Amino acid sequence: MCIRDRSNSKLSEDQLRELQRCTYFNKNELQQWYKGFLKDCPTGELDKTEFQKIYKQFFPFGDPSRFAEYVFDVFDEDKNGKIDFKEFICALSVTSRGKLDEKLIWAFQLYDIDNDGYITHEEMLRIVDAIYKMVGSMVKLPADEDTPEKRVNKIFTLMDKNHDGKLSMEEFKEGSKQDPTIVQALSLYDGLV
Amino acid sequence: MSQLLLRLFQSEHFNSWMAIEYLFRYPDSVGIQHYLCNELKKFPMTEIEFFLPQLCHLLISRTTESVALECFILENCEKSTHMAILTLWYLQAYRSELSSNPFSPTFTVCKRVLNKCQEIVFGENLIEDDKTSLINRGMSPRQVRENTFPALVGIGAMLAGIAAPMLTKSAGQIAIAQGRRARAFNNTGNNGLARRRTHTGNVRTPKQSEFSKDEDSSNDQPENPATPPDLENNQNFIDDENIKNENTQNKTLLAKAETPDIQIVLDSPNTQEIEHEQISPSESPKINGQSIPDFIKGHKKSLSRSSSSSYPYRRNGVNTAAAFTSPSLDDLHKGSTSSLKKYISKGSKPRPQSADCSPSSVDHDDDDDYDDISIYRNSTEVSDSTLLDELEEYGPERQKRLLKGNYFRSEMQFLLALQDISTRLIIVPREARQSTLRAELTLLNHNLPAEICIPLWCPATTEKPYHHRVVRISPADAVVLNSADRVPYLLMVEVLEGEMKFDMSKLQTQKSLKRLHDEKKRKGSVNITLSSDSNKNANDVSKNTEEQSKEQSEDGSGNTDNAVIEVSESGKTEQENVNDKQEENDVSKSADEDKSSKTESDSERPVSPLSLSDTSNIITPIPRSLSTSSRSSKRTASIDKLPSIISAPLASVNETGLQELATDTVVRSTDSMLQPPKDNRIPSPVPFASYTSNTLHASHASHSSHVSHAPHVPSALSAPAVSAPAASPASSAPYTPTTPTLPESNSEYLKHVMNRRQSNSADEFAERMRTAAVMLAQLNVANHARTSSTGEPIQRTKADTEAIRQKIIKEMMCLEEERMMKMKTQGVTSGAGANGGEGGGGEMLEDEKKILIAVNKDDPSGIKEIIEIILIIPNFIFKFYQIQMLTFVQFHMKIHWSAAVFSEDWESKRERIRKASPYGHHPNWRLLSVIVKTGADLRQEQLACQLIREMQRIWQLEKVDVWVRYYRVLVTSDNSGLIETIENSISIHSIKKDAYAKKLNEKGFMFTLFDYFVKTYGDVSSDAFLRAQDNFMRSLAAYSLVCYILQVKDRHNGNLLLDTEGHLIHIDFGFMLSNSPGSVGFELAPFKLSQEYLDILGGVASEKFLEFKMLLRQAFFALRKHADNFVLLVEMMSKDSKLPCFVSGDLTATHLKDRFQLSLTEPQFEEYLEKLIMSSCCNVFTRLYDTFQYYSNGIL
Repeated sequence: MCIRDRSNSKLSEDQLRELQRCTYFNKNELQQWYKGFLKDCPTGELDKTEFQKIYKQFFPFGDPSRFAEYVFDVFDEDKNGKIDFKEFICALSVTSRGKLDEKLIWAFQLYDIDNDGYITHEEMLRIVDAIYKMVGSMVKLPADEDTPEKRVNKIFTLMDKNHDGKLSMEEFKEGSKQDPTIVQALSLYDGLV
Repeated sequence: MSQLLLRLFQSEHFNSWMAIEYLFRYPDSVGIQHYLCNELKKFPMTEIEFFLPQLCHLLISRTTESVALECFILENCEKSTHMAILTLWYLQAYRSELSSNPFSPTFTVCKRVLNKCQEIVFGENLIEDDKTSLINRGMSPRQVRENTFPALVGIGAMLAGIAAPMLTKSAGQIAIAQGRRARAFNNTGNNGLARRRTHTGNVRTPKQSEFSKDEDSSNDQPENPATPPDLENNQNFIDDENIKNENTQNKTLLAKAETPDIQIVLDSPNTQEIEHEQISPSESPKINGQSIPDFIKGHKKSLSRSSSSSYPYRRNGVNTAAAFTSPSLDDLHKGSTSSLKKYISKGSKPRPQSADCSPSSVDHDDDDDYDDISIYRNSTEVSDSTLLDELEEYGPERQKRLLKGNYFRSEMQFLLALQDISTRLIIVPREARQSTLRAELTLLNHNLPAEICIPLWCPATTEKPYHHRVVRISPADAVVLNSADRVPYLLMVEVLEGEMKFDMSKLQTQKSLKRLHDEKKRKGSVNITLSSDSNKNANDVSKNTEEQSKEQSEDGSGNTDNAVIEVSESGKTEQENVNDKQEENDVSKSADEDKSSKTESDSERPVSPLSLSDTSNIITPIPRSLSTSSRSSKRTASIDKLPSIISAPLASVNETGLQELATDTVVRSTDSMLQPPKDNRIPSPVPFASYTSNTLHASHASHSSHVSHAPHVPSALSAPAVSAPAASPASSAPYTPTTPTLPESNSEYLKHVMNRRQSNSADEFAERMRTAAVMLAQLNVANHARTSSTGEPIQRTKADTEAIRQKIIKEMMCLEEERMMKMKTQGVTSGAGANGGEGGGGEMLEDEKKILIAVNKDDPSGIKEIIEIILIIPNFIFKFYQIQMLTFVQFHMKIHWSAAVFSEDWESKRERIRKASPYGHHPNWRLLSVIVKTGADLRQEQLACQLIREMQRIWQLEKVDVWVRYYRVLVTSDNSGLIETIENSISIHSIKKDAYAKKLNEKGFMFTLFDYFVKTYGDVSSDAFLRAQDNFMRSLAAYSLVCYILQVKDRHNGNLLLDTEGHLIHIDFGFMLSNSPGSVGFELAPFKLSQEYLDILGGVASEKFLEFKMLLRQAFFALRKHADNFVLLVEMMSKDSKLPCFVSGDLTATHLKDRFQLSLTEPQFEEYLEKLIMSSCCNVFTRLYDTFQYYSNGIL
């Protein structure tokens, strides 16, 4: 979908209809967010480097570049190396107004790096490691999860019901729901957008 | 690099200084800003408060992506009342400073944060009647706006939530806080609202709530557009957005704004209509869209015209009243009294509304009154009308809010009142200023005690929120400090420690109320406390206050009915009615009563311990005299329940414009008539009544002056002429009932005045004096306004004005004379009431003479001569100074006679005041001495004192036994504030002047400080002398460093004090860091170390001098160790600062750093220091400067 019409900073009726179909936002909200998006990204899209820069702003004490890369790939649905407005607003829609299951399905993409339908122990470790690198020592962690390995083991103990060393979508969803801190984390944007 | 930073932040060396420094150094890193602000929360609030000037400056001067600091400051405002009010004042100062460029980003930031701060201070306690709005408020979280970047990060954080929920918590909060950031483009309010409306049902998670505090609650509004808080919020919501839009939006909301008014008064249905009528117009101006220029205008007016246009359309005829009023006092009083009393003052007093004659205030729609005052006024009306009932209804949290709101409003009003006094004094001729000040304060006292503390002096902390309560200001001990064009004055404020707490439980509230009531009963002189129904039955103290208030309002409404009937019967009345027979009888009767009681409790005021129920029982026979009150009394009379004896019913009520005035007094007389006096003590005057009527004069004054003194000038609007003296005696003077007529000429009037002389109580005098002052002020303002005001039919000629002016001044002089006479004839006691009428009369008289002398001495004409003399003196040195001269003169005036003020020993003064005070017996009674200043930006003074305070802290920390005394400086705007006085000290200039006057010097010789030390403490070998010498040495060492490091200039003897223990104290930091008097640096010595100082130490060869040098070195080393602290404080303030000490801009901090000579090795530094001392010793320039000061300003 082409949203490059910068001559006016408004979405066309067609675009609106399309976006309304795939998000939880109404016309006004879409227009507002579109305005905001163009203000922040005047080109109408965002590449990986810019994306990483943003993360750097928010995580000054660590190295967020790897994690940002993984997150970027989740946003970049068509894998063209750019995030456009549609990709952004869809992600926002899911995170802010989607049901818990929707969020988990969407989040699964982050962890399933090779996109084979399973999260392996190694995949999870790569993500957790990236997160820990990003945060640095800014957040004090409890002793039983103060290294990526410990944390991944904990996650697998919780979620890997069949002990096959990888998480299926089902295991991922059910396991996440069992942990209230995860559920709470996933409701970060609830009611805020 | 950044990891190193984090390691630093997490190290044990990390402290608040470091946090502040990195906050300052890394403005652009959102993450660092949030991290540090989060860390700062872990430090005690007092530590944060120390940095508040820097934090505010940082917030304003540096626009950044990060909202962390803004959130942090606002969160602190939520937590700490002192923080909130201090921040508010700072931001106000910035706002008016920045207002010249209202579209700059800095102004935008300032305005936004100020609005939020105001919301915290004034907005939160508005009454929401329906529970739903409360629920909505709680439930609708503060949503994020269309900020892409934070959303991207937030979504990422959420994704990470499965692997690391901890991260989501911390990073998510930052993302959300940033996401809430207002966007300039985001102005289509309707869209935004619509969008938000769709999601109000969401429950917010606990972690969100933490941040949502900091943000404006824009979302409440669609759900409940009619309630005041929402309107306020609306202001904030649109804050950053397009102004046009703002206006439209507000107008729509305005349409719905009527509703809340009715809700507000639900508790007293009978007065509903009245309330409604009165409040609704007042509501409107505030919610009106305020375009930026208007906004500024509003602010500028706020000081002089502390009353904003509250009821523009209400009273026809009164509307045009002039600008110079001081309604803030009424507000103060209102803000702190019970609902009932509020009704009274509201009803009876024509609010000074729309103070200026300018059409703008009448024109509602572009009213500019979104200044703070209107906000607090707004909320005042809303909240305290039902405060007590509210307290009953809501839980502790709500109670706390209400109490806090009440405190904030009272506080603001009180400070404004103090500043207004200073402003008004400017116009008063010097000779009458002292008396006027006392008069003003006497009246101000009627509004005390109130829920007020003086923030910097108040020991309350967030951990221990026990505020002191201001209970009284001793009028007799207030002193006018004249300077060229400003009139600062010194105040003695009496407080009771630990009396105020906002989250008091019901029990505690009751207890404290009860105590206050008891006290009133006993003393008969207190009239206000937060919820004191001072007019309630004294026997019924224990009764639940809330109930009482309700009861009273009910009684009040009962009264209304009667009054209404009566009024409609009589309709318009003329002044003859005043002399109605029945009344006359009543009056004389009560007058007799009054007289007898007067001797014992002369000006003892209020709180007539009359039971209300009594009043209402006998209420039926309404005396004819009520009719005097004219139509408008209807609403007033109804509510007024204060039983009081008014012997002098209103004089000249014949003017239509005077209705309100009449109302006020008459209402009271009505009540008093209804109430047969029970005993001698009862008939005490109603204090605020008199004040109220007085304020009325204010609003009328320009007209009044017209009629009374210049009857030939035709005035369509002419208000009650003599209103001033005639109406005010609500305060108990047994008036001759036959002479309420207007004296035609001034002389006649004076005769009239003199005839009544005997009967003048202190209060009455005070009011008349004040009225005259107000008139004078008004005359000035009205004069200006006239030119612009189109609606004004009269064109007063300059000559007329001048004539009137002269007459008023003459009258003031007569009043003064009269008072003096009275003092002499009636002695000390008659003038001195326990309530602080005129305080200790005899001493005061003395004091006053001194002051008059001082004032005369300071006459600038004398200085002119001196200036001429100077021109003969070597021109090359002084030519730079010719321009500066006048500034100097201003500075020094005040100092000249500070001697008279400080000479009395503080302890004995305190005891004297304590004895005279009705509150003195409280164990927690304290006396504060402050100087009220207007017309000067105290922020530089504040910075200097902050730096000195830090030096003191370091010296204490490093155990260097030097001595400094920093004093508190409270900044309340960019041209006003309070300064702490230093007890038991006197300027060196005064010491010398005094010595020369007494011819203490040996013939032909100078009188030096050494002579003074010997004279005061005894022989050089005496213990007393040695002690004083040691004290002097330690303070000299400290201040030498202060002066050198801060480059404090203008160090003449008028700016140097000595305390009774021999300590040297520097004051007045108008010149420091990079600015100095004159265009060239004249005082070239590193610090002042004159021969006389050396003499005290025993000369350069003495042991004491060696000790001095050693101490100086230790002290310098200590400071050097912490040099960064000073550099940081200064550097943070220097960016875009308009303070004169930053004329060198960024170099200011660099130079400061250089002075610490950090690059020198220890031996090198010692050498450097030695040089500093030696070049200071008897520096020729120091001597030259003193000589110059002597010739230019007569400073010895």
